[in-house]
Amino acid sequence: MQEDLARPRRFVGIGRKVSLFLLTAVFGVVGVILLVGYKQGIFVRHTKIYFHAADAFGISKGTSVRLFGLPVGSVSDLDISDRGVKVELSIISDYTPRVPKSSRARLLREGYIGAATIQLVPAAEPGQAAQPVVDGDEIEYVPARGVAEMIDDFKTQFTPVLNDLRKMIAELNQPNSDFRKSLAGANAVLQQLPETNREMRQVMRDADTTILTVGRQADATLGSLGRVSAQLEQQLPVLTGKLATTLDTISETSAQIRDTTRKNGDALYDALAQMPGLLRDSGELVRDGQDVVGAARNSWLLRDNVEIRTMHSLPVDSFEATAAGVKR
Amino acid sequence: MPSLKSSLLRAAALPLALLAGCVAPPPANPPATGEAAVIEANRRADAYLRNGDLEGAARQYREAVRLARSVEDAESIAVNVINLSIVYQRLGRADEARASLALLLERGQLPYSSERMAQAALRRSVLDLEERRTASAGEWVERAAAYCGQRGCAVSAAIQNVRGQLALESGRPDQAAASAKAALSASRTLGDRAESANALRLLGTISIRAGDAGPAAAYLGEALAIDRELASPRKIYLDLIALGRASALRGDRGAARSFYERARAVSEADRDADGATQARALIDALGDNVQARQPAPGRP
Repeated sequence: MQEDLARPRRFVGIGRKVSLFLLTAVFGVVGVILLVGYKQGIFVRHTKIYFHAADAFGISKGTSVRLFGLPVGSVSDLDISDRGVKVELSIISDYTPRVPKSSRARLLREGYIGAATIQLVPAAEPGQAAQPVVDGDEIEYVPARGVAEMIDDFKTQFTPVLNDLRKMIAELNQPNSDFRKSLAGANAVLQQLPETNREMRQVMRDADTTILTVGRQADATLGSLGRVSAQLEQQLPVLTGKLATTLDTISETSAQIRDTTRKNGDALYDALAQMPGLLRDSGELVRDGQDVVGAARNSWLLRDNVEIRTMHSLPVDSFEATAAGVKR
Repeated sequence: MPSLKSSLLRAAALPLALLAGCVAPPPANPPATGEAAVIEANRRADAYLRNGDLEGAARQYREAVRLARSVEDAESIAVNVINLSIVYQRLGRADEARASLALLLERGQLPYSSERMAQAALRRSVLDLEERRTASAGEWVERAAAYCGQRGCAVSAAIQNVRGQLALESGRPDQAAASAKAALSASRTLGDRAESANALRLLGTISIRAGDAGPAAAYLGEALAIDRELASPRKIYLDLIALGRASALRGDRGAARSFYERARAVSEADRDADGATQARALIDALGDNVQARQPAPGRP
């Protein structure tokens, strides 16, 4: 006996509902894929151009390609060829009118360890029509200057300066140089200065003694004059009074001169006592200068930032030739 | 029905990889303008030249000329045109070297200094001399002398050396010797050691042509000493070859072979294939007879 099982009413049409649900999910996934693809630019038309580089260091698939700093594409393929590495660039076709055929590509790096990008430099040659690149065109690649090359460049420019400094310091250190002779002369003069100072003080003391002697002699003279004046008191009383006043003034002036001279001598002695110290400081200053120059030679900061920008002219040689074995 | 459901479920359960991301653009370097841009291009060319990349150097010098012309910087145009002509000559592209010099010599609408004009005319003369166009070389060297003036200029010694080479090419050794001695005197006055060595080498070559091996060896030895101090491989090669010929002239086969071997080593180290081939040929010729060691006509 076969039992007829009736399907429950709640499962009626369940297949269609599940199918509808799954189809919605599939449409959703497809929509997300299309949205991501749109964001990644797969619906944008691209133009493929390429260049040849000696090596591909720093370049990889997906490396951003920029024009005036704006991203206009990416590296789509890298392949080894007879001319080095063939680098294929995928450029958004909307930007190709801005990229003439004579454009050049160069590798830029944001700092020494930053992300690498390829910059397109639209450089039209004079007289050449600025035709935009088309699919399959080849452009020129300008290799980036390496750190070693930049260091070498700086070294080439800074070496003459260092050589000049070295020569100058060597000349300063030479026993027979003018600078050394001047220092030796100054030292000799300074060594003689204390003796000179002593002699000057002796002269001062002699002058003081002389003035005192003169004063005493003046007193004696005044005594004589007093006696004479006593004799002449009656005839010249007014004249005698004036002469005594004048001599008093002279005596005061002499005392003032003596004090002033002593003060000046002391000041001069102090100044001369400081001179050897100043000379020692000058010597230390020269040594410090040598240390600073030596440090500058090894300073990365200076070597990286100081740059002497001059035009370099190649020597015009009368024996210039294509190669050594060709002529003469 | 259950199988359809299970397949749909499996399909719906497939993992999706979503990629998103963007990178902030690095700030672009501001383009150099005016004189700074010209100097930058000139220095890039110099760097290429030091690395032996002559093509790269030529490209950068062309760029420097273009930038200098765009701002009508006469001095920069002249410097880079002359440099470009030197690089072209080293590349073996004499016609392009002449064309670059024409910017100064034939289409000079800017006030170029007489010093630069003298250099350009001298360069043109050297180019013509290399291709044995002695008449044209003579005209250009006289124009260089005219630009240089009576009081002389920085290329006075080089002008005298080119005159000497021209005289020697024309079979006038006395006049060549006089010019070489004038060049030696001028170069010593100017402190131009490269031209002093050139003058001494020329005097050595003249002596070899005259059959005087002794004076030739003395001149060439002095030239070699200077060129070694200046670290100029091509000049050292020329000196050694000429010294070998002087030794061969006086019959000293061993010394000649030694000089030629040294010349070959120098040219190989300098990647000068032609020079190495010529040195090898001279070494091989030493084994045959004395006549083979004598300087060939037209050569020192």
